[in-house]
Amino acid sequence: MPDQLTDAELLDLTVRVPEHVVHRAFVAETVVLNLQTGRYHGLNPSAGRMLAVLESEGRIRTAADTIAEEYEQPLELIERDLAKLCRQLLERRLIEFTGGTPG
Amino acid sequence: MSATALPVRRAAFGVALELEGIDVPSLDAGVRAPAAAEPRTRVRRVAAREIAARWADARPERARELRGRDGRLLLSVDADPVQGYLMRTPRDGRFLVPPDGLEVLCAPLARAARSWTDLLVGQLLPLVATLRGLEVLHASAVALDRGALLFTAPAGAGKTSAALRLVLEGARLLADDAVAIDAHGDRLLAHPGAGALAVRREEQRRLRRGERARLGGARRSAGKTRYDVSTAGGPVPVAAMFMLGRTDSTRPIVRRLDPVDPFRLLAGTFNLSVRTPERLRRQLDLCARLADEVPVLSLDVPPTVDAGTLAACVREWATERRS
Repeated sequence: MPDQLTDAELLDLTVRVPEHVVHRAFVAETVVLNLQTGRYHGLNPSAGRMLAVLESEGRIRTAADTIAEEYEQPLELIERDLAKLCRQLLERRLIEFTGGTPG
Repeated sequence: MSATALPVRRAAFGVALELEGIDVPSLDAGVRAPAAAEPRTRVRRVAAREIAARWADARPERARELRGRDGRLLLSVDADPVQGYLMRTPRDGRFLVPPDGLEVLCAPLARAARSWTDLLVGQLLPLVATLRGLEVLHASAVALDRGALLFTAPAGAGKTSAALRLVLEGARLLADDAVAIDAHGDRLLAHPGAGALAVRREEQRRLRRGERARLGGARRSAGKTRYDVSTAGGPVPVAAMFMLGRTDSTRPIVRRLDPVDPFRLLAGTFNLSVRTPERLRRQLDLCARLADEVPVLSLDVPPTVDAGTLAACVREWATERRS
């Protein structure tokens, strides 16, 4: 379960956006839609970009590297923010671990 | 030998229709059906028992309810993945639309007389359009010069009045309350809906006799005066979307929304009963395209300003944009 994992353990995992989730980037917000529940979620531009990078990279730690470079921010800071975002997205089932939930 | 009336062919909300024994004056005979609008949706009157028989195997979920201020149920929609959408109103009767939107079965109450065709054009045909792959916005719209102007607003905030005034000044009506939109390549097109404007009492009082005559046939329905007016003859590219609101200022204020709040766009969509994944995805896609490709403006109006001034603001904006 994600809440039983440390940030370091979480960062070594790989995630994907499930088929029942779509997202569209607007100028100031990314809207994420869970097609199974019909529920919309709003992400600020940074979180929206993180989701897009997570989707393309898969592995959370690799996504953190990419985002840290892109935003020219300390890696530790990005890893912490990205781990927090991943926990929130996992809780809402907007992303999932590839190969199932660990643990 | 009995004479059988031939079905009447019409187009509205981007859908080709075949009406069997149903007279709906607000469906303009001059509207062309887009090629993609085929096959035709068949609209016919049936006995209530035919709908009951089809619905007997349904395992419905309540998809929508509309209640009056006193809590009375005014309209309900039940959805079943196989049988479709059953719409009921105590005033008009019961109506069934299958999930593919290719049929509308109407079992109006005898006392519903003309009112049930208002439900047909105001609720059932927009539902059909949604099921047939278009997206429907809760908006009024007119065709002005080379583009469609859309007006979204909470109920009573003036979207019909804005459209009415622009129609009186020469614009063509596209729709009063529900506008069907679809994407054709790089363009978003607004389709003509029903040629009816439901005018509130206050706006009706402001209309001069000559203006009433120009609008055409009128009748009273549900506390409003409904005018049957001709619509644009076909789909029109969307040129702008105005979100009407209120202001304490003394003058109307028009400003472009940049960025556009996607949730305001989503809130302006129609047919909340249809929650299929395909529809939800299309709805989000349309809102993303509107935000990206169409000027979205807020038009905030003081309570003291009438619809004529509001329409003048819109015209001024459209003129500035062209020049």
